Amino acid sequence: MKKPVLETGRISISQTMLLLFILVNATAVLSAPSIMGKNAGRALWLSPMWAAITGFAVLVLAIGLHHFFPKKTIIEYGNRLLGPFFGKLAGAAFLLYLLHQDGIIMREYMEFVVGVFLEKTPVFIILGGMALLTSFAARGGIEVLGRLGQLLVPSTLLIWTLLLLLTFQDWTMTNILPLTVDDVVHSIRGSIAPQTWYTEFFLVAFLLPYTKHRKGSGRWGTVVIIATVVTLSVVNLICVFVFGNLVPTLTYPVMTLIRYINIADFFEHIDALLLIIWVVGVFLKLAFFQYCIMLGTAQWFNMSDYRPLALPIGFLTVLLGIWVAPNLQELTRFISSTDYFYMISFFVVYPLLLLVIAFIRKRFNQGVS
Amino acid sequence: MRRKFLQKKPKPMSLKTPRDWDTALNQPLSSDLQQNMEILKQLYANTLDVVFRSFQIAGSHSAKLVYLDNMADVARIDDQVLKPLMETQDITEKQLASVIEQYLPVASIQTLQTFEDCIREISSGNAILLVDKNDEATKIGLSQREKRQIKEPENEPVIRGPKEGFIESLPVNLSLIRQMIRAPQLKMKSLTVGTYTKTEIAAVYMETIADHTLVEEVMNRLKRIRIDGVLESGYIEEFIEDNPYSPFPQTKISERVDVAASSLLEGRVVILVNGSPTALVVPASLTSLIQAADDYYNRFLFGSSFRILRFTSFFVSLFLPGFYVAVISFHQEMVPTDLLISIAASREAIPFPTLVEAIIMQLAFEVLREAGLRLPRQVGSAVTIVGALVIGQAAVSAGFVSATMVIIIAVTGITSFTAPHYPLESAIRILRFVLMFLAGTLGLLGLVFGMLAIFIHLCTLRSFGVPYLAPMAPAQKGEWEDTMVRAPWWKKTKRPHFTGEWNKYRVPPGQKPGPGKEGDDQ
Repeated sequence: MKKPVLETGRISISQTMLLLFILVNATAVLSAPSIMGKNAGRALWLSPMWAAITGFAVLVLAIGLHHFFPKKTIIEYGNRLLGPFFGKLAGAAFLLYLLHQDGIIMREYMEFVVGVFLEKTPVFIILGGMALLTSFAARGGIEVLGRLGQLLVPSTLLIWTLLLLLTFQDWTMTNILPLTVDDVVHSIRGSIAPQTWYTEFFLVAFLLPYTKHRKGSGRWGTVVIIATVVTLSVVNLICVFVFGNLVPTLTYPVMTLIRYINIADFFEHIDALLLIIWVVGVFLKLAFFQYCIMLGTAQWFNMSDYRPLALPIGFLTVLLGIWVAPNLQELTRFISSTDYFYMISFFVVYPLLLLVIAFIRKRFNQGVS
Repeated sequence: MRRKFLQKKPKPMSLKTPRDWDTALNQPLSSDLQQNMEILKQLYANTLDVVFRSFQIAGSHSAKLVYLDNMADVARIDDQVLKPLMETQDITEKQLASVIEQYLPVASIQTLQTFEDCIREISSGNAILLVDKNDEATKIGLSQREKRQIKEPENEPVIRGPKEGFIESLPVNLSLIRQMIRAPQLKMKSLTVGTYTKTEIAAVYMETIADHTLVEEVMNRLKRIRIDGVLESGYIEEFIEDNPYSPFPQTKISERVDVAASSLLEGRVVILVNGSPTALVVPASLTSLIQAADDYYNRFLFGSSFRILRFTSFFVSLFLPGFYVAVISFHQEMVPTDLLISIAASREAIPFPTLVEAIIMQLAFEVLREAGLRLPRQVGSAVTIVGALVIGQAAVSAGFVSATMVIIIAVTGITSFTAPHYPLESAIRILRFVLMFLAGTLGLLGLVFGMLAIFIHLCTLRSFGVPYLAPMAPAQKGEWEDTMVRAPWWKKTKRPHFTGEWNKYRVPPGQKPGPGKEGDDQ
């Protein structure tokens, strides 16, 4: 029996790059400065650069596995490398982990919206509306995701840049000084959190089989990582310029930053605009996650179509969004501590294991696929 | 004996069910003129405008001419058919067959075998010549149709550009396109749709530009249509869409000949329907619906700026009422204090929440528009005056709606009028209400939800296999020359990627004009 082709769409490498970019930056940008600042202090703008090393490592893993199995996703080649039993087991664990992460992102989004804008709106509406949208988008397949990325990422990026630049009158550049060796060391400690986020780059493994690109060239990955580093560093830097040592004490430093904007006493209190562009970014990230989960689940169950999974998985993400943490404090603690090992084990250790097995089997068996 | 009796007087046909008609029409013509006439008379029973004219060719061979009064050109029938045939002398039976070639000074002649052919030709206004002892009829193409003058289409005015518009006659429309594109590569594939209306439909395309699979797909979709009648190209449009439930139009409609011609040169297919002045252009994309013909005729700087203006207006007319409702109901802090005070003052006496107020006003506006459209022209202006007075003045002073709301609705209305494509504007009119409702319940978050839903839908949508948002998403290199802006003609070198794959260049590069290199002292 011929295995059904789950995804017939193809996307371009630029679409993949935009999706990867928003995947990491959508959530990171909002709370990143304060989480990094807890360890890094003043030098938090250096942290994203150290974290880039993890980013590169994860991308190398994803691309390496892609070279072994150019047309398969991690669920499929996990099966092949670990055998039917352990493969399925690991696949199920990986999918549940993705679902959990999806729930965490849902929660972050909900906490932000409820905490800052719509205090009285039932959370089910906020989560459910988003889950409907992401299901709708993920159901459209990879092409729709690619197009959405192409449509929304550049425009949101433009507004982000504008909003951040508008804070320039409050910048105190000397806030970053003095920069001592100690600060640099602190900044390395601060890079733990961004490292966790950078591991999300591994999800490119779900895109690569469907991306039209030249084999063997990893330049696109470098571009994405550098763009991410620049984005996060600039955001951190501006936060330091404005708030100095206060950054770690704020829940959403960027939000507070935007509230500072006041141009000619007319253009002020535009933090609601931030809500718009941030929700757009998070939506893309959630849709991407949900697509990966749907595709992986369909492959895990050997289904012929992943579309029917859209609403059930959307529903699960709503439930998980409520269930993952009792409150924002717990969530932040989890993200900045346990989540690190959690993400590293699934996005780094597990792929590394697969890559090593693939390597060994290629050595001794001459051919794995 | 008995057999001959039967042959002479055939049983009267029953013509009650569509099936009876099919069998009656499918039979071939017999060589007996009398019998043919019997059948034709039964087919045309109770038909006031049909004319059976018996005459004798060269005074010896009986013949019949059948045509529909007023649809055939009677004067030319007298002059070019009856006169030469009756005046010829001495024709033997053998020569009878060639008499048509010799004596009929008419351009369009065709022999017909079955009653179905005859009926079709009679219905389209041609005359049919039946000669005794001949089992073939002759179509004489002398139809004359009442047609409208070629005028500038009222719905798509331009300041600069050709003023010709399509009319209701397919042959005239085809000739109008032919006048603009005089190459033999301009091809038309035609077919007839409609059990009763027998409407002719032509798919026009450029042989060396259009993608052949696209043409095939268009023809396949057209051939699938089974319907009793086609009165307008709108009937066809609904049958060939990719997503029939989408509010967004997936074909571009136009009454302008130049728009059709330019679409052909881009590699699109133009579908013309007899009886409809509206041409369908496929595949359509969102950007092609916001482009106006003027953009290409005015100098590129202004064409581009007006197009950007139109794009902006498109978004404003879609989101403004929703944005206002969201800001006033949920995010008052976004409004600068002075402005907020004046808005609050004008809203003080209003009994409704902003959402209700907005929906009432928008509905009133839509009703006014519809009324202005349906009423006779002379009364139409009265509606406008009453509407403007009641809504603009009385409702505000009576404290039903706030003045700000009137401004918002007016701005929305005016920006929506800049849309050059009417069906797209209708889609926005509907979506505006949805967005207002979302904004009124969830604030800006609701507006974002709505916006994302629209974007997801647009990203999913295709028109004849071509992504609706192309060339923005998926982005195509080198096609931005004609998307948000219109690049100058000497720079707009390529055709749209999706349609003109293999004849890419429309303008050879390197034609940028400039002053001569010589200098002053030449």
